[in-house]
Amino acid sequence: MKTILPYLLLLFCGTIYSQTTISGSVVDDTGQPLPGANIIILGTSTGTVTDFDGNFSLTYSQNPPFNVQASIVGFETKSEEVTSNNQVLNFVLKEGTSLDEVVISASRTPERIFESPVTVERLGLKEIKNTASVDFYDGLENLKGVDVNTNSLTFKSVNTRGFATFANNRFMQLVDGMDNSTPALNFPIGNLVGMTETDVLSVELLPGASSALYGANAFNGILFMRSKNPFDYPGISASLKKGITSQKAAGDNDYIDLSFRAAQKFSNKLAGKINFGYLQGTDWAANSRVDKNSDGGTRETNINYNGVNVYGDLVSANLKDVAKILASRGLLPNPALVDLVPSVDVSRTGYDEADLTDYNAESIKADWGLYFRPWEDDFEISYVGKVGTGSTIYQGSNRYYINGFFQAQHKLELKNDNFFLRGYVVSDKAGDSYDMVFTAANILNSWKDHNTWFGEYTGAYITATLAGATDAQAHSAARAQAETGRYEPGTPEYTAAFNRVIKDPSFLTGSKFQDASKYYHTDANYNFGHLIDWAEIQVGGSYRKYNLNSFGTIYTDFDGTIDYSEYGLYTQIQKNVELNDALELKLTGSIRYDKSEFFDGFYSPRISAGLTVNQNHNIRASVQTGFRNPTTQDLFIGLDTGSYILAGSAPSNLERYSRPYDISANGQLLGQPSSITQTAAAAYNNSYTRAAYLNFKATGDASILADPESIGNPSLVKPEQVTSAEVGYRGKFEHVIVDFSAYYNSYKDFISQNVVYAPFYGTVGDNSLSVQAMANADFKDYGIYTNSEADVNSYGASLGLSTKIFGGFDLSGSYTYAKLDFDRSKYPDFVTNFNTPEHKFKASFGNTELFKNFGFNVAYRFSDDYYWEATFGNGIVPEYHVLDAQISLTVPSLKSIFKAGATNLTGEEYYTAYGTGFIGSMYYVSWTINNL
Amino acid sequence: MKKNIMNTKYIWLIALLVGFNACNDPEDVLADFNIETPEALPELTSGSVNFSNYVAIGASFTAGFTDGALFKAAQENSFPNTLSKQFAKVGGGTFTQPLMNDNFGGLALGGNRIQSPRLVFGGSGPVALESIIGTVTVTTDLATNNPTGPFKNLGVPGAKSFHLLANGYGNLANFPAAANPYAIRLTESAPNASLLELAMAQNPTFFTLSEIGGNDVLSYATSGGTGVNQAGNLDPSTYGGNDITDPNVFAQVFSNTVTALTSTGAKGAVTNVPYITDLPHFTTVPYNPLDPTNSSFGPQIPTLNGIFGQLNQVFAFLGVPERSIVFSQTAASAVVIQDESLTNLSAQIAGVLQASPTFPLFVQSFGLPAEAATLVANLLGTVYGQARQATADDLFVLPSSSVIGTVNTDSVAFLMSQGLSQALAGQFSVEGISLPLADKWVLIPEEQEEIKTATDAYNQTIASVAASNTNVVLVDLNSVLTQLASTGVPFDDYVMTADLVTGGAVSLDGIHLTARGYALMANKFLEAIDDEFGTNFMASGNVAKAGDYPTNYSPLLQ
Repeated sequence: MKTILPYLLLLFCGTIYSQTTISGSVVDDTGQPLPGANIIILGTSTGTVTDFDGNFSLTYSQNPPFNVQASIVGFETKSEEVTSNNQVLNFVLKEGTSLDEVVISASRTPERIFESPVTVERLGLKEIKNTASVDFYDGLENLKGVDVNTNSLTFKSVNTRGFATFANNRFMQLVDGMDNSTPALNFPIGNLVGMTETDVLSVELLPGASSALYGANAFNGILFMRSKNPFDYPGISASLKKGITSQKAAGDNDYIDLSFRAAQKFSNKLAGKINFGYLQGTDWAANSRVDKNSDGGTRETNINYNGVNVYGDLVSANLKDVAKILASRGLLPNPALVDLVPSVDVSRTGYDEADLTDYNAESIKADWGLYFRPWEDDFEISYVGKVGTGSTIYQGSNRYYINGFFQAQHKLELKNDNFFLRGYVVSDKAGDSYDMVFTAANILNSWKDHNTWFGEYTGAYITATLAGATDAQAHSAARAQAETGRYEPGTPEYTAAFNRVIKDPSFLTGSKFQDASKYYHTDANYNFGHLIDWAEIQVGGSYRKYNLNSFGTIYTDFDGTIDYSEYGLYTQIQKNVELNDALELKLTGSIRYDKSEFFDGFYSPRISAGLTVNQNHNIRASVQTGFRNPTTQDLFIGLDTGSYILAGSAPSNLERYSRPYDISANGQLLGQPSSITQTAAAAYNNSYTRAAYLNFKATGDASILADPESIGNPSLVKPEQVTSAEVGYRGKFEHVIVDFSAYYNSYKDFISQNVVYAPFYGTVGDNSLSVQAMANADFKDYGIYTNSEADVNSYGASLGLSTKIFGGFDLSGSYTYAKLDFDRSKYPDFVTNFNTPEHKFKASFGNTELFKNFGFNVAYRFSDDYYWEATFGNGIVPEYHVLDAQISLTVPSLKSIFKAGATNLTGEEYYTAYGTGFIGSMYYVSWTINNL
Repeated sequence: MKKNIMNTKYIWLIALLVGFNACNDPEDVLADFNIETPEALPELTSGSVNFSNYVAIGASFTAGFTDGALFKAAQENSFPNTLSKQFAKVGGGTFTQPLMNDNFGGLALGGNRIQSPRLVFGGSGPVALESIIGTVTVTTDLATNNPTGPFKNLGVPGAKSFHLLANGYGNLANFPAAANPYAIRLTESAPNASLLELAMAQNPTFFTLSEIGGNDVLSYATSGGTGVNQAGNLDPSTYGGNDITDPNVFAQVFSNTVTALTSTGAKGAVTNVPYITDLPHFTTVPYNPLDPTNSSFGPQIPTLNGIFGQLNQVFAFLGVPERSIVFSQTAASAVVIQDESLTNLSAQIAGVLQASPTFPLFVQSFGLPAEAATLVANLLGTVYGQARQATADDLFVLPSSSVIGTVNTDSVAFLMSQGLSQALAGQFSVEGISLPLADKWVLIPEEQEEIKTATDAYNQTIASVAASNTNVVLVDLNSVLTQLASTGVPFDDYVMTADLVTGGAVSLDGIHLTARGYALMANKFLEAIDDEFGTNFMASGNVAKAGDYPTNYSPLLQ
């Protein structure tokens, strides 16, 4: 401090004694002012941005001469020399193309999109301002090759190049370098706890694998969101958006989205900002009564009806099996009455989703940051804190009401232009979140337990049959009997049961999630570019430690938190080779080494080459690998779902999950004790496959279980891998910008979940005791995590074209093709979750200055029919056409932009995933102040 | 310049159109996932059959007899009616049945009941309808409300093979001696027409000839074999009601009938005869129903064994120790039966007992004077001269269940007339215990063998007639019942068995089928017709669905 202080004082004095003031304006080549352009004194952190009229003034602590640079996204950067005090600088910036925009994600260093070695998509301030979508995150939908799967109003799941479920743990989302994924779930909940719109500087998206630079989980793609640095963007800005959501199922509901940003540059050394966002609306109600179990079935026509958005009706039993149990317990007057009972599955009468949630969609986010530049140069120390809470609906195995979910992040970062070092922690609390399917099932169980219900049903069926009923009449009488005592939604007893169930964390009786997991992450990167001339070399690394804490409700962490860690190291070399005046070659090679506590280390290399021809054509090719570590759930879950036990595959997890089981009377006759304790290890080292068990159950043929093929014993899960080859072309023609890419992905060791059956006694394959155990139903079924042997490949391409027509109108369109290449007949049970349409088409048409201060934009999206596979349900997602539009009015005197827009203008409701609410239309008006 | 812009624009529009043309339809997407949209079933074809005029000839199964009666609802579910609904889809005409007047079942003649209403499920087994809903008036009256034909369903409950050709079988004037009440309801203005004549008069294009031969053995069986096996007697007019028809008589009737029916080119399906002793009427009552834990039987066992101990010594002495009667105190015991196939040892038993010096003492232990020894010896000889304990090979008719263990009042009266006290007479008159069950309750192995021999002979005829006539297909009812009685027969989501009440296939009378059983039978016909005549009822899904046919009729059905 002693040595620094005089230095600081010196600088301070300098500001007193020498000072240059400059002013000016920035306009485009048609004379329109450009607000929000960056004005910076080159080589310093001193700068400002132009105001709404494109004007600026700046005071600098030194005497001329120095260089001032004006830059704004979408325009070519220009700099001028300042030679005298009070000089007026009028910059005229030539509008660039989208390919001139600078991205930093593709190579971890700034470069023009045009020269990027891999495909990269970008959403900048201009695009965010003009998007016809309701907010910037929704605006990602219009990017080429991007799939946005809508879980709910506030939870959109972004994906590229296939293999998407809402639990998209193959896709990463970084906010200012910080992983946004939720510790409990291993994936980000859309933008629920992400960024506020007024603080967004840019969004970049890398489709495809990029593990070479970003490590595990950057597998399908990665999304980067960058916020505005308060040094560069000081001031107060706010936006208020009000409107309605309109959906057949939920009606018209108010919608409000508020964001506020205040940033202050206290000095050239210190700046800070705070952001606040509040969004409240009503979610897309999911009210599909389509029967998952039969075509066109209804509760009235199908005894085993299982409505898509009707819950509790998953609880189903085979009537004959129930009758056999009743007979064996002496509960039938004559055991032979079993013969009158058909072998059919019957489901309980469920509750509609609307009776299990209030559909409140809410997101409250706040963040704050302090930025310190001790030397007033590019070296910056910053602390950022971020909290978010909200309510939304997440569709995983079941539909979950994420209510009062809370996520906090704290980050400390040191960086300059050549390096960064950051550390952060992400923690979550599940709040009052609950599983809607379990809620329904356990409300049912609370007014009549499932055994009693099915017992009564079966008894009444027999009684009705003997009284002369046909099958249909007997079922109807049986259901009426079993349903006596039902809690009807809206009654006090229903409400009481509902409230009790959603507060009960045991999935056998309740539906509440408990979680307070965390992870700690640290990242560092050093770019030797300024030290070495012949190539640009970067090295970096990361370390992450997980701290799982679900209180034994999800993970096997009943006796304390589960901790484990992983780390990675990488390096990249990039070299530009000027072959001749017209030909420039850019070669990039990177390699990353990752090591998780549980798995062998992995090297994931990437090489790429970009050839620039005549500065207007760029051809690129790359090969890279990606890998994905099994998630915390894959490793440490220990959850009885009611039907089977989910048993994570970490070696230490196997013995942690342990439960006692009763042995059947038949089993005891074989000399077994009346009860045994089995651990989840049995699932992995003494189990039969599901196919074998089902076959054995159907036929009773013991030889099925003698076949070695019948042995389950899945291997423990290990990371899955992808190798991705890509070629691309970017070109600038006179009026048309072309961006094309094609890829081929080859996957190995796909992580998959299967069900196996572990006998309580005997060794699988012994063709003796274990077979008897299976026959006596002395076994437990487990959901296990392992890797599939299936070869899975996918390929695709996308073509983007954009142009200006009729003067100032922007017209662009893109087409994306995606195809899964997988031998389904060879692995009929393997679910790929490709979940991506083969054909997608997007287009937008707009003009930011149709006439003075007035702009508009229209966006159109088409998605082909595709098949959605996920644990919640499988089904066709029919093709859809969506039209969004907005008009905007800029009022410079108020520093305001007024916007009116509508999404899904045609009102034709659609959905992007089977089981969710249908997506209706949104109509909104917004007022944004001072968001440059 | 402008032109240039437009050109470029068009080029990429063309590129995009290419994309659009390549779009998928939902079916393509599903096909990619190997999800086959369920293949549409083939269209129904009539094959080589003209179904326009279908006539069903037969007995009680054809009529739709169930739960011991014939009534409207049961007739609606008769297998011929079920078949006719499928035939209607390929040109079949209206199928007229001689519907009863109510759903009580039973018959009246001039206001006097001549047959009882149906049985219903009474909570644990079959009971009379009136025991549940009180007295009813049977409204189907032969004198007043015979239906109007002509009838496509010519099923006559109780008809034997030779009745098909018998003139006057449907003439009220011959009732009850030589006419059948159900036949009377069919004949209308031609009271003497035989069933075959009634059929032929309608020029059937398709016929079913079902369960012919069944009643030729059934009445013998249900009577406990009290009738006569008429094998060798070729004159059916001399047969009693419970006799077994001679196989040659059967063969002639059957082949004549088929010849007549196919003479105009009609096609048809015939059934063979099941082993009726597999029916629950004969299999429900166990041979060993005597439960030592039963409070009215258990305590008596020592006394009974004391008495039978005396008798058993006599059996041993007479060289027939296998006739010994012993009741177990720990396990269920077999009932005592009268086996008419055994040598009658009445006199020998009486003689041995009289010769026994200890017998008078034994007699005195019952409070009788020693002088009664001769009387008692003769009585014991009379009662137990052909007695033995039943074995698993004996079959008991269903009504025996309500007799076993009860006191036979005729026997009591007889014994009292012989000088026994009422109490003692009662003690020696307990059916199946102290009083051997009479012949009519039991089908002993010899009787079963007679039934089987006759059945096999009938079926041989049926098989050879069917095999030699290309217009006729055989429906193997025999194997269906065998399967019902052993492994059960899967029918849609059910596995039906031949068990009474619980099996789902056989109605409460233990002989006739339930509606669901008849539906299964109809499907067996369809299967056979498909196989032989090129129709595709089964493959096209035009079959009876198990769940649409009940196993029982409500007592409240009127």
